[in-house]
Amino acid sequence: MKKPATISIGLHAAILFAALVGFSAPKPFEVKPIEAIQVDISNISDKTQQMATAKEAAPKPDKPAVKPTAVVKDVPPAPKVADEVKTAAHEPVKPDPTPPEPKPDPTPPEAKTPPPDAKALTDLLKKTEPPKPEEPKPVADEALKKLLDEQQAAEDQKKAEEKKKADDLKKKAELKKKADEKKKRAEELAAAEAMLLNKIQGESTAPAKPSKDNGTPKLAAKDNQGNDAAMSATIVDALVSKVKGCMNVPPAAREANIAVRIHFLLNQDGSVNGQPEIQSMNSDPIFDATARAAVAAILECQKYELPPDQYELWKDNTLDFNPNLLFGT
Amino acid sequence: MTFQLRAFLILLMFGFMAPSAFAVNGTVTGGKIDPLPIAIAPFISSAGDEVAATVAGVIANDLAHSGYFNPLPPDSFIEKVSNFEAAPQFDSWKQVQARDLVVGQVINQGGKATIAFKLYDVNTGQLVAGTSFTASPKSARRIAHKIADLIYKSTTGFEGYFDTRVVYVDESGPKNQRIKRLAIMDQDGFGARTLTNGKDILLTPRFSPNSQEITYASIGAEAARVYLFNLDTGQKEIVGDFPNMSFAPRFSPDGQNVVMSLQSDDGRDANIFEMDLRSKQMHQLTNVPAINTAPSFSPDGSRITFESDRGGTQQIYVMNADGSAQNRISFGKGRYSTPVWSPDGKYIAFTKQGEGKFGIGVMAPDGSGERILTEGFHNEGPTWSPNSRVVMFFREQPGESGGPQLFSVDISGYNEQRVPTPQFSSDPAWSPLLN
Repeated sequence: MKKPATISIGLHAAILFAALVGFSAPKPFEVKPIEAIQVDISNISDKTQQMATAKEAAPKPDKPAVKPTAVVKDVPPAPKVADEVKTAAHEPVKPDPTPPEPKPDPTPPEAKTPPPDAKALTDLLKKTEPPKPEEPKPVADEALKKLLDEQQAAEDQKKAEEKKKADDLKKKAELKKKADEKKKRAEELAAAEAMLLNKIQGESTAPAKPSKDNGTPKLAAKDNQGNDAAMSATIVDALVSKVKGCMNVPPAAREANIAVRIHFLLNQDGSVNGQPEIQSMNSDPIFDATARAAVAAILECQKYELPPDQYELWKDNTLDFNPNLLFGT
Repeated sequence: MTFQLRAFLILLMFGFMAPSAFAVNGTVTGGKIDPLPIAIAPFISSAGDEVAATVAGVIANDLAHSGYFNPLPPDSFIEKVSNFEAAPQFDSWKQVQARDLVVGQVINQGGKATIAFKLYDVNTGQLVAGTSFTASPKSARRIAHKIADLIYKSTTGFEGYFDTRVVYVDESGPKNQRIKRLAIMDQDGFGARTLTNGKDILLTPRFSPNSQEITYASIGAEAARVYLFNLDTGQKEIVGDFPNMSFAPRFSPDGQNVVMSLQSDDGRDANIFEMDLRSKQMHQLTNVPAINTAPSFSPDGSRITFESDRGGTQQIYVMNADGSAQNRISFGKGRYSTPVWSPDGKYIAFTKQGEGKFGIGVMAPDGSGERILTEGFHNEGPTWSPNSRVVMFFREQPGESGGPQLFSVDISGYNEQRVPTPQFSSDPAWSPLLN
């Protein structure tokens, strides 16, 4: 009777011990800093000003999607007299005979950028470091010296405790890093699949990699907050103003009621991607002349100096040209 | 491939098909109105071929005089085009700031010249227009005008007007004893020649719609008479046998009728009549004790504009082609005369006299929107280019040695230019586009 009781007590003690050791304190609830949604609208022409966003958003460069094909800027060979040339922004562009140079990844190499947790660890370590010894001051009496010794001892003890805590955090960071690497491999696999899909679809402008932001809103994706509406309007104004300055209105269009819609894509450097596409159609020679002038204006105006961090807002553009609104009939 | 991966790819496909959430949509109104920089490359030809140089020169001259183009100096060109079929090096044309590029070639074979051209948009590399003409080398200038018309239309949106002619009154001799001959030339002043001998004083020549006949008034020993002159045969014939003066003739748009003024028996008034050229039947359109003259049809033939002093001073009126509904449309200060309906029907050009000046202006057929295009000591006799964009007129120079000269002005009032003629010249009339 005594033996089973002893076994039972032992097992209970073991379970209790295991519970105490194995089920350690619950992981503290991580409160991520709230991302600020405040957006400062800077002057488009002022290159030096950038949008002010949350602190953790700024160091994260908005990694552009890697395009599987290079942007074709070269004009295709001229057609013969009988050829009718219509250009379109979404026409499949001929692949550049020279292999596209791999775009440099704007994201710095990971080795140089410590993961967020490691950075926190570094910050923490910096904080726990003893303050730099100040200039020795003349000590007046023993009492003061004793007090200082006691303080030093207390600090040493505190330092030891914090070091232990830091080691724990370091271990956590390593674990997280391993998890990140695993995730990265999965993402690369997904990117490869996406590229394969792009080839099948014949698309050249599709993003090959899914976002790495884990659902965190990008800078340009804050439209839901209402601030990007104003930014978008500013960009439209800037774009329209620039194109208008390059638009040489055909004489007939100054008097006729002509409206031409042109769709065009812009590259991140502000250059025009491919050929602008005339979206509206009309057999009127005035329309043809106006459409040609509009395409020329868009091409002659490049490169457009628009805020790079707002690329999502101005990469895809449609402009209506209606010269008559100004000149009247 | 796992199920999750497949699902992800499908979602990605739908994502591509969806329109961009951030597309910019804007409206561009207006713009600049600069002359279009255009490069006209020297036409390719065998060595020493003058036709090629002539063609390129005529095209450049036509486009420059329109005011809508700025032909670039050939010595600034980087690329020397030597192969008509090959695509030009557009980057080099961009460097010389050309927006459009014309390349061409002339091939002389069997006594015929084949002249071909291509118009490129330098920015896009797009071939905008291109045609080949084969004709006698003597027609090189006309072919060049036709090419210029095609370029003009492709770029401005308006029909061209370069392949046209102008008839006018060639004037020579001292001011008090002027000899006035009927003359004709290309619209750029080239190839001027007189058609009559100068014995009679010739007035108001006007083209027929097919450009093969000219009607005019001539004051001979007896009285003013209206004549028809055939350009092909050089023959002239009198239009009607009237006891009194007939003057200010003009063809109807279908060429079947001529409207003109006939003097009344007492010589104090004149009214407008229409004559059917085949039946010789006359039909009186106005019957007012006043000087009613200078009739001009609307392009659809349904109405006629004319001048009349029935209200005390010369003013412009419009009536239906049968003479009904005669209404005054000019109400500004001064006297209005010589109304001419534009070929597109939108305007009536006129001469306006007041405050010691003669102006050339335009207004809508209802009299609204009057604009003076040019004014000075003595401007008179407007005529329209066939595309209704340019008004030609004559300007009398003051002084004993002065005389009339031809000028043209854009209907915007800009780009006034002198039209070169060998001697003094007046009363121009622009032909329709030649076939």
